[in-house]
Amino acid sequence: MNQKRQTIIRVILIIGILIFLNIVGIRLFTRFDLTETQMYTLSDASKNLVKNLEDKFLVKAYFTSELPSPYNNHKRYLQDQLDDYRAYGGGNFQYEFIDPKDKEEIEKEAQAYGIPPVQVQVVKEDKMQIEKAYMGMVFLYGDKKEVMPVMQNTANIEYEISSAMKKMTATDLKKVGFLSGHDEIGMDKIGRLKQMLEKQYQVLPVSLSNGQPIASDIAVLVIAAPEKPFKSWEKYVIDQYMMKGGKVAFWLNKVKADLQSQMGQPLQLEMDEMLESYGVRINTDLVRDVRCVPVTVQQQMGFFTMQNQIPFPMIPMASEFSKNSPIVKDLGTIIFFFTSSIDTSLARSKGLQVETLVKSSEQSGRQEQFFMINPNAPMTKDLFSEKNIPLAVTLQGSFTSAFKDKQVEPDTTLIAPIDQSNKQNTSVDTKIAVIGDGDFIQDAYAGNNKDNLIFATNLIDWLADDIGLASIRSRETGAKPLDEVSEGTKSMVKYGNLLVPPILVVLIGVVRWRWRVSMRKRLESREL
Amino acid sequence: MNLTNIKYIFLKELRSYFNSAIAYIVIVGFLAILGWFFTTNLFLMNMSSLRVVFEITPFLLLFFGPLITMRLLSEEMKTGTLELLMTKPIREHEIVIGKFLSAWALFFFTLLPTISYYITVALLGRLDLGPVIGGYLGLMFVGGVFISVSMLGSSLSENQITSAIVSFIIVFGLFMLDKVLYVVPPYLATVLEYMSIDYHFSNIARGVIDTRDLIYYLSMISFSLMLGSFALQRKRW
Repeated sequence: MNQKRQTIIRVILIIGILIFLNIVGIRLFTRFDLTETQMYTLSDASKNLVKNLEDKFLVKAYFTSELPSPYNNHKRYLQDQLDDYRAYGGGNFQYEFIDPKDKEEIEKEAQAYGIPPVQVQVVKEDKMQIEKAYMGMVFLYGDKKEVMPVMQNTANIEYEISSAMKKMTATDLKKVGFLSGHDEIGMDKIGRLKQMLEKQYQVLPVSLSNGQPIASDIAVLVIAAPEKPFKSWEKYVIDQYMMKGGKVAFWLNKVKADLQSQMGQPLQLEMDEMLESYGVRINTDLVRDVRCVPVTVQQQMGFFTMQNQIPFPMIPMASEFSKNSPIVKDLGTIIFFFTSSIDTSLARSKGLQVETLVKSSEQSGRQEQFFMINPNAPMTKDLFSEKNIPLAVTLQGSFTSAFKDKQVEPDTTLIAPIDQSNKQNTSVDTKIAVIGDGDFIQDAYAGNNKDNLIFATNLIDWLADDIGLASIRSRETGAKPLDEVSEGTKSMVKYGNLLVPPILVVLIGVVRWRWRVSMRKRLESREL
Repeated sequence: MNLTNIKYIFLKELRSYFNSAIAYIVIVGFLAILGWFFTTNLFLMNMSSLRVVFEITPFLLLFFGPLITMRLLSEEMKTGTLELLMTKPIREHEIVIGKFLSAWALFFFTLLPTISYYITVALLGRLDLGPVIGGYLGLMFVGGVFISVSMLGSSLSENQITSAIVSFIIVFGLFMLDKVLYVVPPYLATVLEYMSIDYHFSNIARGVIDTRDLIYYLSMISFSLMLGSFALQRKRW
């Protein structure tokens, strides 16, 4: 009896100690981030941002408490992240969690900030119920505010916080201009990219219609998939913008693909000569790649029309990236929609710094002259005999003007002739980014592949000398795809992993058993 | 606590696992099921991660834990070898810890051949080592909790089958805790969530070693082992 009571006392004591240890542990803890990219550790870019705060930065997180899984995990993760910021913030970074549950005033406050209630399924009194929940944040700095209405997942939370902080602390936002007037992709078709860019930049359309120079406060000019030819004076305006230090993204389609007629048509943009003077050429071809996106086609099988998924090499899934470039090194795959190859052989002699960011896979090829783009067309191995064709490049340095030994052709549609008196023949140190496809940023095409938009944003960051956030932006992309291997290798890998480990274990068992039998025999014979 | 005694029990139990067919049957079964899930999903998902391994193994552990521990204490009590052990200067907790370590080691040897999955994925693509280390470490801890809790179940009955069923019910309950959160009153939810295995495992499998998760795992293991040794003590009187 005495023993029993002692045991019970001991058990209670131990439970108490363990509960105490756990409660203390929740408050005092450290974390070790084992991931290669330090995915769950505050990046240097974020640390610098929070260290350089000059005023109070307040995060008000409206989170309904007692949310079901997985939202409760989000809260823990967010709190850890905010704690990290606070640790580096030197008192200027503060956060508070506010629970709007059953408090109408606080709910109104949240909604006034633009944080809407979301619907969450809960079970109460044996009934499934839809309940209102809040999972949003508002950032306050000086008289500015930024809102993150709903926290969807935890992967990009650092990026959300840091980009808001960056935007709010910047004295004025850099401008990114999208050129218009040549049937480029309209702003309405790149809504998602625009949304991403607007976290850090002022995004605006740029038109050359009046012949005036491009405003020097535009940090980056994006020329995305124009279809009409450029006039001589228009090229001059772009050229001189660049010579004065403007950064330009040339994302040009050289071949316009028409899926209806299943033919490609070369586009006459009149840009070749200009790009060549900058040391780069977009070839008039279409790159095909074994690593590609499947498309759904209709096939006639006797009486039936079948919907079939077949690989379409004209829509390559590029995953060969420059390992050192912060623009691409953390990305998974970029999908291009009918892209042309790029040649930078001219740049070396001009003393420019060239970096090939994206290449095609080990098995790829080019289609030249005739552009048949029928997905059903038979594919043979010799169509994919080239490897690592450059698809996206950046150039940096002092460029030579395309109008160094040339005059602008006169154009009567202009009100006043172009002023060429201040012509600059060589540029100050500047940068350009060249891709043989302009459609990869369109909402309709980039739809499911966020890496396309991250790539474009990173590239614009690099052009705008603002690469800091690029390293955290691509964190949410997670695991990379496997390398392309033959079907034979696949089955070998499959059966190898399915069979070899168990067989190995059985073999070890048999060997051990034989060994034990022989040991026993030897012992027995010795006894005799 | 006498380390020599623990070591003696540990080695004796480990040897008996590998001298009988049990270890081999359990390991081969485990590898066959896990291998099947891994290989069918590998090229389907086409991602260089071992996520499948980390998602399926806790499920398998639900059965693995009770299976390999059901014999440990039940049989001792039934056949009376326990009494034999008890007459030696060995304390109950030394027996429990030694046996726990042997079952845990068996689980380690079961996971060991899955290194081939790691090698495969690392060769076929770019694999981040962090989540792999975290995932395996997490699996070892989840295994530790399941095994120690199952041993507690094993100490409750002399019948191996009863032990296994009782253990299974307990670990299944632990495993389900955070999946039934929305049916419990809110004030309990936070506590239950903290108690659940998955909540802590998902964090460590991302590749983040958090002392809060380690404290949880170690608390669960030591608590079960202590209760187990108290249960043994009762037999002595």
